[in-house]
Amino acid sequence: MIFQVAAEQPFIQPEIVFSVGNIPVTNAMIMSAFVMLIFLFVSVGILRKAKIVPGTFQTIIEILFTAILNFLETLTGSKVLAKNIFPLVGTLFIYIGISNIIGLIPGISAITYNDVALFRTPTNDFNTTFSIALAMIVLTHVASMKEFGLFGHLGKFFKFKEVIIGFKEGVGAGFLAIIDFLIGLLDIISELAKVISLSLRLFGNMYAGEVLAAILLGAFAMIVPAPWFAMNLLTGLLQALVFGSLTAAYYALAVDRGEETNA
Amino acid sequence: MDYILDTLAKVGFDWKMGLFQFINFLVVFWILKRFAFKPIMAVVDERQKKEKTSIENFQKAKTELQMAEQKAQGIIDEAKVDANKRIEASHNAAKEQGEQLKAKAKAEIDALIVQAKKNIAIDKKEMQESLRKETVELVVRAVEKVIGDKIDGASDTAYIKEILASLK
Repeated sequence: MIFQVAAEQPFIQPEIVFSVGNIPVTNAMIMSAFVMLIFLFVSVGILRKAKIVPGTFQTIIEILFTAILNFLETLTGSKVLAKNIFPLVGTLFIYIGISNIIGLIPGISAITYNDVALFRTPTNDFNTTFSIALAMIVLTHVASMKEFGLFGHLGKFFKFKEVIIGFKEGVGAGFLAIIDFLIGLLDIISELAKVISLSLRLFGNMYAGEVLAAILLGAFAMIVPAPWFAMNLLTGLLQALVFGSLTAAYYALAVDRGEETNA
Repeated sequence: MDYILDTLAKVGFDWKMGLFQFINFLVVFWILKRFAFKPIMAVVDERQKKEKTSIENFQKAKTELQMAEQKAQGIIDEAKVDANKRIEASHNAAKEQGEQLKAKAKAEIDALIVQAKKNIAIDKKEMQESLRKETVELVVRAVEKVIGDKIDGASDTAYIKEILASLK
């Protein structure tokens, strides 16, 4: 039978499986913890004992890590910066990548507890994407403060000094400095927008993917879902790449001395 | 602020869940950094360092080999020049020695020729003397036959001396 009964459409909010005290435990949280345990098992059990002559698995991991590092080097244009942000952005690539595609394991969503699916793709929960995006943007600000100092960093947004210098030079330069000052204030909004855009992009893509998969699985039982799953796999990895790349770019921009370095 | 929180709540945001996800991400970050990135990159760095050292050693060995080859070639060239010099010197010495031997041989031959000439002269003189003697005797005998008379020993000797004196 080609046509199948309609599958359940996923909720936009993660479902609460059970509660610990007044803390709700959702299926996305369970999946996140499960992913964390996978990383714990693989890292502590296998990768910790990395050998100079690698086995097949270690070779694959080395190729992956080296590729991420080279990609970051190309993205930031600095070998040192790439090495510094590699653990963080590497974690983003791998964690989001695995989180995106783990929900595609056949049958995983069929496991239920109290009639609620036990596992849900972590990135299909806005809490995951928002918290990670917020953490990343906060981190770029911390990095900027470390690089330029607190006042140097705040000076990127509140350009009082430039206004004073501008008016000392002349009225025209002063007005230009005021425009620059207003742009600086707008940058505060753009920093907030970064969090929203990063989190909603990932969440939107993953949620839309799951909704479409539910519709396709509901309409067609065979053949059609297979290419869709393959595409979802690709989309999942691509979204991880986009999230990680944008974070790396924001970080590089935050610590970039621009004209000072070029001068 | 309430509006923002309400909007976020509409997409399922809950600060407790968000905090859990954030902490979960931090744990994953720590696990990967401590047990995956660090050991793997350390091994990769060590391997790269070894590769670099090996390449440097190879280049060093290559340079040393080239230098050794150049040195060996220099020694060979020097030896060739030396050998050529020696050969030339030997050749010259042999030539000189040959010339000397030749000269010595020539001198010896000349000396032999002189000696031979001397011997021939002596022999010739002796033969002439002998011939003269025999001729005189023949003459005496012929005279005896002609005159039919034998002359005695004393007169014979006197006669021979006379003839010899006339022949000189």
